[in-house]
Amino acid sequence: MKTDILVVGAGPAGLGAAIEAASCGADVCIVDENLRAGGQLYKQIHKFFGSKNHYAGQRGFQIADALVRRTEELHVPLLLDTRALGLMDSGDVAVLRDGKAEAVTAKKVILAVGAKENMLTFPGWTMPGVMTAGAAQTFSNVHGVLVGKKIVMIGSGNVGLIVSYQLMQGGAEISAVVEAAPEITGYTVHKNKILRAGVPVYVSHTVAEARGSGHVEEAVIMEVDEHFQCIPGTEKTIEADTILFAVGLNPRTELASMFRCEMTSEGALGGVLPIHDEFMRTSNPRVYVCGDETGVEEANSALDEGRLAGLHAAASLGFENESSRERIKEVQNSLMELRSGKYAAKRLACKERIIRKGAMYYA
Amino acid sequence: MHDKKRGLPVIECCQEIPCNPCVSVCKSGAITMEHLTSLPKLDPEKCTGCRMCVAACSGQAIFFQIEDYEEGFSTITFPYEYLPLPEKGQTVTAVNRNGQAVCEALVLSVDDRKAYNKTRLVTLKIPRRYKDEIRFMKRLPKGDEFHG
Repeated sequence: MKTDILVVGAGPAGLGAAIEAASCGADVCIVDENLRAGGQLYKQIHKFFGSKNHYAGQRGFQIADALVRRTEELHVPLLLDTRALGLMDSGDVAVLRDGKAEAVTAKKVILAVGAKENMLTFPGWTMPGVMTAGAAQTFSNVHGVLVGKKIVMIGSGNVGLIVSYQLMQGGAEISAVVEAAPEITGYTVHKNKILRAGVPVYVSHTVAEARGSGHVEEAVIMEVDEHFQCIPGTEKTIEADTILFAVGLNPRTELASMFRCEMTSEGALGGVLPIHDEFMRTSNPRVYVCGDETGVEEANSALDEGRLAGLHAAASLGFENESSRERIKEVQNSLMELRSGKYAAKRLACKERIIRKGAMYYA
Repeated sequence: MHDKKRGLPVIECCQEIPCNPCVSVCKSGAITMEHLTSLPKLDPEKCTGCRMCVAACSGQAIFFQIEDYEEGFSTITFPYEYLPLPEKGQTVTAVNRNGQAVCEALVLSVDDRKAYNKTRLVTLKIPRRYKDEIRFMKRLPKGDEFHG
């Protein structure tokens, strides 16, 4: 198979990239290992923040539908159940489809493969009933299966708060949200939704143990000191059949590494990630990165980063229209706006550092 | 002039996050914002009391209140996305911002419109002295639907 631009990942970043590049006239192909397009958007049943150009007020799955519709209108091939395996010696990208590996020849590759969830370890953590918040969300919102009736959520970032809310909508009880930091770390509006619903929140606490015979029956929580060490004697047990981890995500960098993209590390964005410039170009001029893979933020930033990568990759191949340059500026400004405000200051500083490093490859 | 009988939105958006559906949905221009991450401002004179902002706020941080509903009573309207739904005429437990019970309250309406995008607006009749406290209702247990 041959294409101008291969996009790996059909989440908000990948779809944004494909739509912009195809709109400029480039031949684009998207591959995604999942059975449905939309990435994490497809699992989100809550209304999104942002502005009109990010489909704000729409629910995540509705945004996924709108983006997929747009790729269809642009006749972009969207190959699902197709996994990008890596880079071949020939420079082609190997993809696995219908049990067979095939080579895709692409002038530019846009990696938008997202992030993976972090775990904590404690006695009992491998027992059935302990899983990530994202797994529980996939079960309930994609497959219609509630993972438990009495749930302890570890972590009070936006993922922990949103998934708690969604599981309650599905009929579960959230027995506790446990947060090691001295206060809830997610958006205040998400926090207030679960407080109004009467969910008990334990800040400066962690789960020390999962107990049960063959399956989780209770969570042992303990208070932590300012160094996040458990304070002896503070054990409390909470009846629960499920313990979920919402303790952050880290960028999926395996493919970027194979493409020899230089890496850096930014703790506030999830750890090791590929360096990129202000157009999402990596140290390898053939490869762009966007979305959570370049630092864990949220869907609107992923969409805009994808749009930017798509526009620039297309332009670099000569696919430019009269409004391309203006559009690039517009998307960059939109990203800036999403990263403005006190709450985003840390993310903005990280991104500025990454982009400064990225610019050095093209000075 | 703003009419106390018609009511006003109560905007409890207190964090600068990038979000503005309340501004986009307000046809009378009563809600404005400087930048995407600014906090929304309400001009009570321009508000028509349509309640679209209550359903549109992605953070569920806008409520609607008729302070002077009846002698000694106010109303509070909030977004509700749980099942089972309460029904008009049902008595439910009104709760405060921390989910703690405040008092029993009568459900005046449960509104569902296409433009609300699957969010329902529940309106409770509440004693006026609790108007700054009550912001939600105790969720109804599954299988305990109201048959009044």
